[in-house]
Amino acid sequence: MTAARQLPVTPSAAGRPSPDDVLDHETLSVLHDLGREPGKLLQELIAHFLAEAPDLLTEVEVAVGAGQCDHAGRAAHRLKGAAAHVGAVRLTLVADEVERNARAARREDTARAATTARSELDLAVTALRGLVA
Amino acid sequence: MRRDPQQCAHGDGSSAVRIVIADDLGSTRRYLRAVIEECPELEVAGEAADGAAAVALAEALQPDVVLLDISMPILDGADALAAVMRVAPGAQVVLLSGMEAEVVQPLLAAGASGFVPKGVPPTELIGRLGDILGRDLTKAPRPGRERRAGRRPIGAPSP
Repeated sequence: MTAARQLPVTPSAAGRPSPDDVLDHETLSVLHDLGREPGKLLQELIAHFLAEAPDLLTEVEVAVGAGQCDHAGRAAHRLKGAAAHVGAVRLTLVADEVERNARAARREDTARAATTARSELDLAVTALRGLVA
Repeated sequence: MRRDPQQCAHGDGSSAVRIVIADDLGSTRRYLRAVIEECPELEVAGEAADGAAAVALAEALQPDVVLLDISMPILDGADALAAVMRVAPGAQVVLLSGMEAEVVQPLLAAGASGFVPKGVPPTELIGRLGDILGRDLTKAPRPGRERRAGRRPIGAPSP
């Protein structure tokens, strides 16, 4: 894995995320510049995300399937945090929706949001892998 | 509040504020460590991945601050807060959460010093920590950081 310096070239106006952006480029830029070695932290955070996020969403799905909304809510909460730290803005929002539905014990809505989260996770993983490939 | 993400205060001769980071997500701990290490006035004393480990570390290290995720395995929320306050009475406990204010409010009433939302950018994180600690942590940049200040966002269009 090389340092995350080949960052996205799909600009949104003024660096702000648009609804079409899988990743928030401004967040990525800030993360890229943090630390003594530019790009290293971002690379580490992406590695953490790629290792953590799929398992967290699977945990959500299994919990929803078993009717354990509390458990699903906790896992969705962690997924939201993991996504936020790599600027995966759309996944962050969907994970928040999963969490809110789960905490309100709305099982069907939780399952529906989790399905959307799966699609968003796939997009985020592809985009982030593209940064460190 | 929006401050320059590359700016933190130099120390004033006093020792650094020693912080224990307690969060079950490795990515969150890594992010928090990176932001905290940007500030000469702050120092990461240790990291814990669950509530019980946070209590043990707080007792062993007696830090100035415990940055405590309120949703962690083994021990969390009010129980973790109470335990940390009991074993490290000199530590300020700053809650870390992505949850709504109504979840956090009872913990603030129970003795937590403040609250930092998860996912906030470095600038806001440092600003909020400074507000809670009563210090301005945003005055002067760490050496070598000025050159990167003012960079346009990655992916943003050229002027």
